[in-house]
Amino acid sequence: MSSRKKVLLKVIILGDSGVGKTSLMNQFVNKKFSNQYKATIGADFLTKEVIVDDRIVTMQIWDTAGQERFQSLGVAFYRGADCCVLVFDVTAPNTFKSLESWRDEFLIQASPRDPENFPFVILGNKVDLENRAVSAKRAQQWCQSKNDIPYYETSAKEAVNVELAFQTIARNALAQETEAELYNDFPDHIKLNANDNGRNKDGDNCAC
Amino acid sequence: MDDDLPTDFEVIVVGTGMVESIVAAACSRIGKNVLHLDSSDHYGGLWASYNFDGLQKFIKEVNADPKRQWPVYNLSEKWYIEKESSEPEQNEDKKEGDENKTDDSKAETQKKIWSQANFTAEYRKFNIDMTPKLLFSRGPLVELLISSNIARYAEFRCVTRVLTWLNDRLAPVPCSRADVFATEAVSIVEKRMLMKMLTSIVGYNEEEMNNEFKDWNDKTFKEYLTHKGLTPNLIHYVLYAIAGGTDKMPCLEGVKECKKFLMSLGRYGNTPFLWPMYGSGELPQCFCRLCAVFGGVYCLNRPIDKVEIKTLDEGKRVVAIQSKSKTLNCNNLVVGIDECPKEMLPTEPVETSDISKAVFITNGTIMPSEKEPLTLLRFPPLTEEGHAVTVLEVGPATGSCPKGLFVVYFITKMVKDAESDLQQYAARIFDFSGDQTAESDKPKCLYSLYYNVKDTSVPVQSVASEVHVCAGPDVGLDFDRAVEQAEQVFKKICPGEEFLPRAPDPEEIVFEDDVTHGPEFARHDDEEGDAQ
Repeated sequence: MSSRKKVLLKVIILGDSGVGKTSLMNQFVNKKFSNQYKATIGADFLTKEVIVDDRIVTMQIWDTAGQERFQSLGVAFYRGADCCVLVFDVTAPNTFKSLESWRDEFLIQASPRDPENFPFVILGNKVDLENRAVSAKRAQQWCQSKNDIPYYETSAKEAVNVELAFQTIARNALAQETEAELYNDFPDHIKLNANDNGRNKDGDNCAC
Repeated sequence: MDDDLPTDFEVIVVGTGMVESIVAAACSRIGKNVLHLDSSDHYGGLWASYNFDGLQKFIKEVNADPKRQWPVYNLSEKWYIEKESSEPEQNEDKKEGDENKTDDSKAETQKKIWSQANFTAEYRKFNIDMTPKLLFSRGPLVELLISSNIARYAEFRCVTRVLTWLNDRLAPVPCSRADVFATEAVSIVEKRMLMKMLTSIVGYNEEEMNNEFKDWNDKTFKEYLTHKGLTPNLIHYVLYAIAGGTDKMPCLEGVKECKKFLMSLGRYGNTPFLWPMYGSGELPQCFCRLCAVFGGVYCLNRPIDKVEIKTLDEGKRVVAIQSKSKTLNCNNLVVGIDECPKEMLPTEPVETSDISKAVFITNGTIMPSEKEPLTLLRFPPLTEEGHAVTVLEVGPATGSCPKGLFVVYFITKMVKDAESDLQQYAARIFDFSGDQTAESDKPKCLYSLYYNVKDTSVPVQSVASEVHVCAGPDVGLDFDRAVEQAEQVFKKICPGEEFLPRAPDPEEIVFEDDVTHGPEFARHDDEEGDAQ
């Protein structure tokens, strides 16, 4: 745990379509905001290194790629998440009401080891807009009732609180990860990549 | 909500099995506008993985509706353990968080007595495959995952050993050069013979007719191996374990299978095989994600009722699909064989032999080893009319089951029915007594499920050229046929286009703001964000 080995945190962002999940991610990682993404390539996941308590942490932030639109996120998306960010749009009360079911869905699909203490963070996005419909108080109350989930009011467009929120996300995910490392009996996962493509490293390519 | 579903697409894909998902990804990747549907609430169709609860629901669903023509039949499920644990809950199962804080090595010295209730409580930790398969480390699927960059969505584990059934017991098969030299089961003379023979197999080239094997076209692989002077033990290893064959296996087929095995050695681990983390059911989802990232629209829980080909005024044909009282239109419909409406299929059924399968959940591995093993076991046929049986044993490290358990899959071609075909093999490696306290050199079987699956892997031509039917899972060990068929379907829909070119890494994605462009298109505020 105290090892200096590289830490990779998988963070997934959930919430109704159009609340600004992709924009938040893009603002945090690329410091950019766009009203329109290149139509052919949607959001996948973005990676950013952050420093938490002198440790370098790589955050891998996974977007839903639009599969949430018709409730069609597969269980594979949720695998191995270290933190879950739930986003709603402060101008759209329905998206706030959905938080509960997104949280439940996450707990069912990801089935974290310790659901009671799994790190969630709630973001009320689009606070730059005039037509606010969900008050900060109401959002805070809900978060408190759910085992004190941290709550931030953000604007991906104007970069309000985005950095701060993701710092908290990294910190809380790391705390979870540190605990999880205790039980990590199964390293040795293999990621396929082209580096060893066809390469015959130890001369043991075929038994001849 | 469903009414938001757009209705016009270039390609509509129905069914999220392996072949359909690869086609969906390939079409979306080159810019086709894709809608991907599935009638059930999860991905994978016949290729899905289920947690324990999902598996129970699936069994119930199939058994409750015998009239619907399920490709799965003869399901027979059996428990070998008590419903509730008889002794009072002592330590582990009550509080999961606490359990994990104790030192596991201590807990494991005392074997847990499992009850059905434990399975129910930990149902989420199971990922049980309907179509368990391995990947050859240098096989077409691994190459495709890497070249398309879809590999970033998946994780794998190496199969740690290959076993066979030799002289009435389990025996490890030497896989690598180091293994061959280290093994005491093979003498030095045999080793030389084996190496020579394997060298000629690796040199085998299908196109080149003037080769070592030119006179072996109509003979069996066993005859070839015997001719090469291999001893019975070596013939067993090569024929049954490496080639996965039987005495009747044609020579060239055996050579091809062996070559595939040998060519995949030495890339990732000690054996030529990889197993996907959380099971084979993850792989279709990886392709679906790529499809979605490139704009594909996903809608599960969306059965289709009817498919018609309509001719428009200009003579242009479209496929019109009725689904939940909505009409969806497309130029090309790609549909999994299990979701395809009958009117689109040829009336003459294709003749195939079906598949017998079984899933066993046990309290230990079939052959203890230092680290948790991941095993491929190949049985030669034990009866005259039987076929070779493939066994895959996966443990908790693969995300397939809770700690202390193993999931073991059996697969063979059907002769009679799954239970009669496979029970005798299972009896050789498991203890079915159900008595978890009694000493035994075999792992105890706690749960078993036998079932048959229609072999729907033969390509079927639909009655309309715009409708492309995707084959179901085959009996084979790997995904090679699925990849091949997906590519063929794609080529028909998008002739001349590249099949799954490399997707850019997220860092390479250029957002609109980075490029010079005209004035921004004014959009309504509530649409900002989530790009589709």
